[in-house]
Amino acid sequence: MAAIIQTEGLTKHFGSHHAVDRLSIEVNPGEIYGFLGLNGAGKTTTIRMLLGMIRPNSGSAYLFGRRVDAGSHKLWAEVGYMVETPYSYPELTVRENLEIIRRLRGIPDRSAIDSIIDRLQLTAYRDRKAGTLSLGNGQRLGLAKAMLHHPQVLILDEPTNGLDPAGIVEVRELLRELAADQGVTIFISSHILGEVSRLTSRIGIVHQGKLLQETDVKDLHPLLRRSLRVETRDPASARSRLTQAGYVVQQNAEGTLRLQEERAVTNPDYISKLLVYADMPPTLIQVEEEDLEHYFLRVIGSEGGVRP
Amino acid sequence: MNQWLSALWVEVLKLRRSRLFVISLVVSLLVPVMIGLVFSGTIGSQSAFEGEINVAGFLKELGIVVSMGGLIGFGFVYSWSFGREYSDRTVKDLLALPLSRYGVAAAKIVVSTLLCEVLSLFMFIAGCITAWLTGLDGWSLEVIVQGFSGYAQICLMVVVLSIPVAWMACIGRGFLYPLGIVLLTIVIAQFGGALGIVEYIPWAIPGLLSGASGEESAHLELVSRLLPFLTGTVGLIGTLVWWRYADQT
Repeated sequence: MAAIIQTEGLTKHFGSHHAVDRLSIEVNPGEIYGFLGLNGAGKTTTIRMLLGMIRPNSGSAYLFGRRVDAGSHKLWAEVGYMVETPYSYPELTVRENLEIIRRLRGIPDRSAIDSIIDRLQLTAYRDRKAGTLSLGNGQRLGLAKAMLHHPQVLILDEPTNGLDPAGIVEVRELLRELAADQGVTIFISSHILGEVSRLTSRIGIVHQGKLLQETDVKDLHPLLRRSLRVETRDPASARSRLTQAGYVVQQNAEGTLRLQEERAVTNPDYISKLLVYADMPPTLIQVEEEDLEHYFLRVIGSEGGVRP
Repeated sequence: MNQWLSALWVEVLKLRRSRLFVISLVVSLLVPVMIGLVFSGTIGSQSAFEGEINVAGFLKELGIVVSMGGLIGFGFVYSWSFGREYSDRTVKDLLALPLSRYGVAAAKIVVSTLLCEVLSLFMFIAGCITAWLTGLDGWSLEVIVQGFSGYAQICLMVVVLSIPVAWMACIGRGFLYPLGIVLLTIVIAQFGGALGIVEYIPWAIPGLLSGASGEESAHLELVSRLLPFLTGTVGLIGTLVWWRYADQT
């Protein structure tokens, strides 16, 4: 399957700062790819290179198999995008801002504006000046501008920023529908793994400009660390007993004990029995799975030298 | 071609909805009216003006005002047209369209240039009407046509000289930097006079041509008359090339 979005050794540095370092990724047709990283990890620079706004120092970006260049403007007919926080002309209405994009993109169908306004629930704001919109509605307008021409590819930089929880779910469903029903290829950047994993089929984690890990979301679960959480009325004695039994036990300030070894996680009944026989019955014993944000921080921490 | 016309339409819409449009029209109306009222003695003192106190002298005075004030006014038009895309952060919406970036930048330059020319014409018409209403001596179609010829030449030069401001707005990503450059060009023009090389300073040429420095310095060599157009061409190419090739971070 030919990749719709592809980068090969994409590199960009600003002076001595390596914003993006030999980044190679591929996004297949109809795929929703999550591009994950902290602020300053190189996500937006990568997106700008994908859109021909920045020239890479080395390497190349390809869309539909064609090399991206600022001069290859015909390429953008099939690409919708949103880079960083979307801004619109503040003195123009929502409708006028969309009319500008409709004309510049050469979309003959005038009703496209009303359709996208309805679809992104901006109907009540259509004649409102963009400068008076809330952050969330400004974001919706940005998405409307990106989707107005029914592109085959959507490149979105943190698309759910500023949206309320209902708006996040709504946009997530909309993007999922575009990918599933219309085969739109979607590239989304974010710094929230939990959010991205609900929407995307594959994620790439970028840190300090480098791609640290690329994985299918369905393969993410086995990568998450599990631990056994134990609470007792006398944590110090319980810890001592478990250590005596050969377990490595961590204790936090609240007295909660945590065991990470596989033999403890897979045998909580044995730990429980051990403590009961020592007359320190657990008040809580629970297998806990690392959440996605901790996983993300662990990946960039272990690979990139940042402590979570 | 159609999409380029769309780009023109878009620039006109942005301009029509902007405060700049209204403010520039008001200023273009007030400046000739105020000069006309003072020139005719209706308000203030006519002694502020040198030369003949008649319609021909008034139109010449209008040219002198445009030769200096136009650098600021027209410079602001180009600065706004390009700088606002950076200060409003809307530039990124114009960079990956199925329309060449040259086309987008050219549409901006065309619309800004047209606005400057329209404002110049508006000033001239407002000046002629003021001269007629205040009963200035020598009001005739022949004098108006003659006055317009010199005035139009000066306006054209000042507008062309303002094009590099668009380039500066792109480099400076906003309004302040290009406006600083405008002020710098005026200082350079004044400094050129002190050094005796004023006829080789592009931004001083419209002033010389308007007779602001006396009639004798209004007779310029061809090279001096070409300098503003050369400067404008450099500004035009610089803007287009920058828009097309510079990194848009």
